[in-house]
Amino acid sequence: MILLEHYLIVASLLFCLGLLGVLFRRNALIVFMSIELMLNAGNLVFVAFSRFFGRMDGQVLAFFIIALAAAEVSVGLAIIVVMFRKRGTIDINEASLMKG
Amino acid sequence: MTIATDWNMLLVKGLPFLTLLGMGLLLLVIEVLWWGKDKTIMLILSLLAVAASFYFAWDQWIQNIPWSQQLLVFDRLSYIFDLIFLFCLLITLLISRDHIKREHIERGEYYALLLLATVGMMMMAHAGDLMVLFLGIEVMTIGAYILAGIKKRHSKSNEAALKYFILGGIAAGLMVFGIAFFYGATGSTQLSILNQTFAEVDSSQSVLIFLAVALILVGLCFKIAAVPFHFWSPDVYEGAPTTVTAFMATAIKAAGFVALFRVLFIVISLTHIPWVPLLSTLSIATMTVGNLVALRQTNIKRMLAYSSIAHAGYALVGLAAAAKDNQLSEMALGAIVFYMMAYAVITLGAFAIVVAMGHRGDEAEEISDFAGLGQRHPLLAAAMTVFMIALTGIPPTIGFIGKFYLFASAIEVGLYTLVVIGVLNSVVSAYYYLGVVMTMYFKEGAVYRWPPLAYLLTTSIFLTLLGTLYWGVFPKDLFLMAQESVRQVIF
Amino acid sequence: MGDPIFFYLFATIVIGGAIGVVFLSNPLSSALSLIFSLAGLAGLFVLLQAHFLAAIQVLVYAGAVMVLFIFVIMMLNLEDCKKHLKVSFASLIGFVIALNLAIVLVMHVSAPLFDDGVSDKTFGTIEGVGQLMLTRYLIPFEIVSLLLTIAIVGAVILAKKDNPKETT
Repeated sequence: MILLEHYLIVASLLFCLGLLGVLFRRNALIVFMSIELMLNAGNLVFVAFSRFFGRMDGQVLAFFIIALAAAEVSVGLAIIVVMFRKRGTIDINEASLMKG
Repeated sequence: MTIATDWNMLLVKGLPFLTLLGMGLLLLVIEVLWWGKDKTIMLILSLLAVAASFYFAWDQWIQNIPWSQQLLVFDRLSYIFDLIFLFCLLITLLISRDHIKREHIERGEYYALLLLATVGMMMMAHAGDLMVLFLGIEVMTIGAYILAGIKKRHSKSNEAALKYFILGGIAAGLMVFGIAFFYGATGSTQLSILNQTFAEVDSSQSVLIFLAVALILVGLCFKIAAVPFHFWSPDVYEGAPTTVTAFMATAIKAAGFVALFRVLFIVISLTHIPWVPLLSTLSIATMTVGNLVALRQTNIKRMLAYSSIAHAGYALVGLAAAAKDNQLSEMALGAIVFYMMAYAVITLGAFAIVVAMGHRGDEAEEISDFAGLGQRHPLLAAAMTVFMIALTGIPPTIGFIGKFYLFASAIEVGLYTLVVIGVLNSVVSAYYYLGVVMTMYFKEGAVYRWPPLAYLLTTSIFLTLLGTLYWGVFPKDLFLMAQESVRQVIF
Repeated sequence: MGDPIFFYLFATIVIGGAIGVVFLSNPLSSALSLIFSLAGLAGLFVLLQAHFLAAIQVLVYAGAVMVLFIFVIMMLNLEDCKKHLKVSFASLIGFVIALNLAIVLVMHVSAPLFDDGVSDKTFGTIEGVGQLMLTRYLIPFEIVSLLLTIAIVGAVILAKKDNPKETT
């Protein structure tokens, strides 16, 4: 029998993996992908609870998050492209000019 | 579960942000259709929209008829923050023109994005629902990413945009996860629902709520750049165009605080979270780290960035004081609102001067560039001195009054240690703020011809200077306004 | 409630894909793992009776967003990242805290069962979701549209090559 908590565990794992990627990877593209994982973990929680309550609010909210993620990705990739054109790298540490 | 919305009412109450929204979209269209190279019309239209929006927000503030549509709330707290955002936007627009002209980033989208980002902030101020709050944050932040990276040919600007994007992405991920658990615990994302569900909270529910609140608050701490979530924000401030930095340091910070208010108003009644120690620790860490790192900065934008971190720490003193006894006290909240206004006025003034110092190809971002300003441009130097004194918190400026009210509210509830640390921090900050003054008056500078000040810049410096001094001597009206604003907060 | 086998299948795909994203060194392999992960998530959405959302997940995420990602990776012609994992002390602390939160969550959420009787016929359909989205959630919906507008404008002005005449 699959319970609510099973879904929550999957979501937590997904979230932690996403956070791991954001904190430890230096490639900006992969950091973006990890952020997507974190957002999707949130979506899974929304949808799981939506099923749990038998109300669709959670699905609508998840829908908004999907739209938001699409918006973020388009801007983020534009930033990456500009960065790569200028600097020839998308490694966050290598590209870092400012320190202090 | 449907909401019967009175759309006419919503239209009237929402005029402040609807005006900006309409003008922002109109500017995008004009940018495409406009044939001339001169973008003055964009600036004029933006200023008109700001004026109209200011009038509507002021009008609503005066009328004081709180109304809630469940997803959006309209009370004095939200309108006063609308006014703060609009003031920041006004000064940012005024100082923008010359700066973006010499940086070759003058385009209609610049103005449009500033307006639309402000709409996002207003959504945060009016949010009665976590989803609206979060989407408002995202509108604001995505606008800010783009504005930070708009100097495409400058590596620093690219880097600022990238770093801000990653920070914003982490914050968004945390907040979405938090909001999802909030939804799980209460069955809704509406903030007011929590008051009703408190009666029957079981243990698993309280764990969910705790987790949700923790994640949402961490996300918001990224927005106000509280230590330890401040990393990279100085890089962002340094790399972004100076005018955008001014906007980020003032308006976005204020928006972060109003979002914190909205969330804290509700969750403060969760008695099992030790609010006062938590907020005090956050406050001490934020102001101490901000001030200590600011000491060794040589770049004025970076210095102001760390100083803005420190000032967020001072404002958190007020929040810690407000959180005493598990209900937000009016006096401390009023003090924070006042402090937000004071900080915005002073910081915008300081940034206006940084912009005024720049020439084509030389942005004068180092503190050493200010050397000799006292001889060559006494008025500008005098204005900068006033702003630095105000940031330190020395009378007779609004900075002193703001800190005074904050610390007084903390003493009222007996947070003496926090106040002592706050005062010590102010003393430390005097070193680097007054260091700028020393550089201006007692160091020989390179001889360059100062270009005549553009009248828009002069206006903005004059306005902020007037605000700093006038409200420093007669703070009563403004303070009463801040107090009034937090009296009747609805959810 | 569907077959547990499907849950475990999809959950494995989601988590396996996520592990791939984080630990593979080639950005392209990461992107492909992400597609797996997101598609698996769509499967979980179906199990949770969010059929419309599952379709959107596949169309928007695994489709449009990931195409964009792969397009950019191809365009930048990225190589494998050497030393792709960089562990710093601060980020380690952050991660440990997050892991603790997850463990707290798993320990404390006492398995409440799904109520199986979702009586509403429109649950998870485009009709139900659409109705809710355009009534109760109209304002967030409008804000999302503003957000997308800003994002489009931003992507264009950032990624567009400048008019060379304007160059200093």
